[in-house]
Amino acid sequence: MKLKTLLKLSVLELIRFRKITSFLIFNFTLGLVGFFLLQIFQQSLSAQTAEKAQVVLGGDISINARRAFSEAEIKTWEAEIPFTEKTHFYSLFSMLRTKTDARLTSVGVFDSNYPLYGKFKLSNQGFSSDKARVWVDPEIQEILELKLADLVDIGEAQFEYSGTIVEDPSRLFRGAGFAPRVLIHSNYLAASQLIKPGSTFSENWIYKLPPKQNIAAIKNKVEKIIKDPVVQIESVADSEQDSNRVLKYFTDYLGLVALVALGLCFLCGSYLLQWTFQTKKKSIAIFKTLGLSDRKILAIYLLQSLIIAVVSCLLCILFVRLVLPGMQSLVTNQFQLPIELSVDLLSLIIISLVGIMGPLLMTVPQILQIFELQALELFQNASIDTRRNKLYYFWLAFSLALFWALSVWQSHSVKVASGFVGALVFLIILFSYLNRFILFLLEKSAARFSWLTRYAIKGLTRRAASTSLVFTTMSLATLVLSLLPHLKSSILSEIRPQQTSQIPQLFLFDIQPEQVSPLQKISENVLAAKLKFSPLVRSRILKINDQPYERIVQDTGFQTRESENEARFRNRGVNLTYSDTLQPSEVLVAGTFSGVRTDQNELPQISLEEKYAERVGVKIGDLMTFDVQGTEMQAQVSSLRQVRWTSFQPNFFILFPKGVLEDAPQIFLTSVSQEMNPVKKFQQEVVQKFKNVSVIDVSKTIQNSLKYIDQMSLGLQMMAWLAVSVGLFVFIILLNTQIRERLQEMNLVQILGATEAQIRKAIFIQFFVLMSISIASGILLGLIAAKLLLTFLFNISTVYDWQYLVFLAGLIVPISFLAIYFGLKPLQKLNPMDLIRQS
Amino acid sequence: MLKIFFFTTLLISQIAFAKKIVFLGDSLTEGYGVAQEAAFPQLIQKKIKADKLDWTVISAGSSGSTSASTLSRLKWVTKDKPEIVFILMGSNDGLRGLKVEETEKNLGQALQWAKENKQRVILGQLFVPPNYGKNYEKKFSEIFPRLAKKYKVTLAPFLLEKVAGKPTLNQADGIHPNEKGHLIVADSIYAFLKKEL
Repeated sequence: MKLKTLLKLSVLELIRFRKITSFLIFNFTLGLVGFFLLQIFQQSLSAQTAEKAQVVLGGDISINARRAFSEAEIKTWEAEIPFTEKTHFYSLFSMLRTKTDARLTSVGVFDSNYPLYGKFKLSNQGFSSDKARVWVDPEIQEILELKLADLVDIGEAQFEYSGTIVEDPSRLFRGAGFAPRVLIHSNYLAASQLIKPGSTFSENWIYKLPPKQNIAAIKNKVEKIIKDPVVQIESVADSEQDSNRVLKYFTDYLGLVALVALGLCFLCGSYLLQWTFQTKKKSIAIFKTLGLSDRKILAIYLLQSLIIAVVSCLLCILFVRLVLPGMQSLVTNQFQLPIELSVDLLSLIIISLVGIMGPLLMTVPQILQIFELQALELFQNASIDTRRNKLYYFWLAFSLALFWALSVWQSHSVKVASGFVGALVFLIILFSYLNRFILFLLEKSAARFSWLTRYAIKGLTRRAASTSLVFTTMSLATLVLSLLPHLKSSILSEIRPQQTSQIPQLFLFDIQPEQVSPLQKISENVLAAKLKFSPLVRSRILKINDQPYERIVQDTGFQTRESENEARFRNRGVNLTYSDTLQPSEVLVAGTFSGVRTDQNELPQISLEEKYAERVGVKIGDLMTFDVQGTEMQAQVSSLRQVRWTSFQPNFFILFPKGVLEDAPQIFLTSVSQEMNPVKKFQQEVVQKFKNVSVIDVSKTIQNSLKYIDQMSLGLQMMAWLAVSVGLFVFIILLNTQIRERLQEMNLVQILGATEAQIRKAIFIQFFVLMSISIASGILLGLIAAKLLLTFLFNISTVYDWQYLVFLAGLIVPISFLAIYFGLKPLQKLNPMDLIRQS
Repeated sequence: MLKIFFFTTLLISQIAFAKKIVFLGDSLTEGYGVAQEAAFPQLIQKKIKADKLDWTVISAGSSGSTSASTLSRLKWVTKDKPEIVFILMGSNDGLRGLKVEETEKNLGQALQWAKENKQRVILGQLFVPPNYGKNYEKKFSEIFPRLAKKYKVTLAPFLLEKVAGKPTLNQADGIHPNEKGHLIVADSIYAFLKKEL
């Protein structure tokens, strides 16, 4: 038989079962669309992250040091960097003076090329070198009451005030310094005499590379040339890691969402194919009786799957092409996300491969059945279990390997992908055994109920394989529906304070002990609020378990940057604090923290931040010896804490209980939240009365970062709902096919004398049992999976979204009832003749 | 047995009755980034030992501290009745651009308290880097001789005289001396201090 004939037979078969064919195409298209859109969104976000990192760094590769570079040094490294553009700037502290006042500022001395990516937003005009001009942070303008064209002194030169800095991209996601920023052009650096022997400054060289350059390799080369460990070489990837931990959560999350959505649709597709195969068994029997070889029947089914796959794939690409401009407009206008959604060739190839390989792979278990089934068995219309031979297991392993490869590509991490695929396999096995166990219990207890309930339960236990598949898929769908919002709420809680009261506007530090009480009074009078002061005691770690902790540097100096960094880290000293309670941003993860030292004969029991403890190599029970400004002190580690560093509150690595450090020399820190008003008046009074207290206005930096996080979280919600929609669709399809599977039997029961009400009741009981155990298992495992994923993959605390769970239940229950209601509609039209015709 | 007893008694009395000198300062005194024994106070202790002088050095450095904490910390360190307190406070005031009048007032209060309590003090001269501007640099550096004169205390030369601005003697931040830098600081301070011990 020629290919043309096989193709004709396949198409005819697809047309004959057009409802099922369209259903399959619809299902696969939807799964692919969900995956494709999520993937486009994730890729665009990653591209945006990389661009942001370039903007934060100001270029692709940066070389800087707190010293001046010689021309020979610059020439040497420039020989290794194939740059297209470069910029050179200095950063230093200097006093900005008016006729009446002076303030410390952080001076950025830039040339006209800076930044190579992004740009400064200045209030009055662009960054220019036509004359000696200065742009300042708004707080400097306010404090010094500067007006345009006012003259100020920096170093030995005079500059004209030309406006405020509205946006400085290099400061996004980076903390505010203790001095406000001012910008001047490098043409006026010499006149200012800011850089001369003894000056402290950093010199920076930034390069823009042509596209598709291996930046990591170039960085490696430059690192080999520059031997001096004080020179820092930073690539855009470092900057990305450094500043975009927040965005990494989003992209990781989206990667998982996309995979989960695809996995779910394929699982559903696999179920539908199996179901379709059952309904097409008669055709196979006819083909076999007519003498068609197994290979040809196989070819027909493979061709059918291929046609379905290609059509689904084309429809998906067409649909995405059509909706992409609308999505772009939604993303840009509604969510104000600075993301450009685009489809690249690689994405198209991947989606086509996934779209075509997926359904073909899913057809394999059915193909294997074709080889082993007898025509007579097929005519009997009985449910026959798939025989598990070597080929089946090979197929299973191959499919899993492919799905794993796809997961690696999607998540950019072997660890994440392996964990994800492993978890999915584990869940499928778990659900399958759980289902068996529940069916066993139901079977055991069925005797206690009326015949109708017994019959309904039998309806489930008789179709053990089908029930198990539906149970697993439904539970997984529910798991996805319930899991994603927990992930989302946990990520948002990690990166964004939930209450505005936690967002600080001012940070105050270097508060002396005797200044705490008067400062509190000012706060009560001006802000009508009490401030929370955190004590800070400087110390050094001398020993851990009586072994010296600090690194002594040998005469040969440091061999590598890493060894120098490690030594400096150990020798840097640590800030201690004390409190009788943990802060809201802290959670005890191991051991106990008593809060107050009651027994003076016992060692103080301290708490360490878990990551810090890991880095310094300390466990619970270890002894640490500190030098608190000349006094040695020993303490025992009694607990480990997880600290949410993005809480915008003062947090510490080492926490002592009360009753130990109160007498040690210390200073205090505090923050003033954005809700407390009037902040300006408070700031002025503090600056006037406590000249040593440093007051840093962090509102602008935090607001910029929060604005970005808010935009991202909107996009995150949008994507979560897309995945949830896919899950709901899977849910409806499963209910519908299960009802269809039972229609024939219901017809027979009707002929045997059961009323329509009894049939409805029997079906309702069946689905009530099936749905309730699937939903309960899915939700329960969703809670467990969220905890595991957030703890081990995202490494953040779990915040369950209970409100959403209630909402989810309120959504699934009516949808399920509607699906059952519409699914049972054909029951009214059932005719005994249908049964005879089908038989 | 008797020998051991005498040796132990001698050792205890040496430690208990050795005169103490406290370095009260900031990150420079704390030895920020270098091991405690590589920081200049401990290096000076080694020099004292090598010269067989009967002095114990106590380092009371606290990174980031400003002159505002001088008085309270002076009270804390003098509980141990040191012979000399070497005050090296004010660098952070300068680096943060605090008003020089405020720094002078804070140091003055500490020196006044020391005078009232008959505590011998040496005051360390400090400077701010030239990039802070000539005006500020001058005003800041003038505080120390003025205070030394007013409270009749010894003024020690600038501890970073031979180290500041030299990349090979400083850590990556360009401010804190590295191990080599601390050796030079210890040499120059000890050259001055030896006369005072």
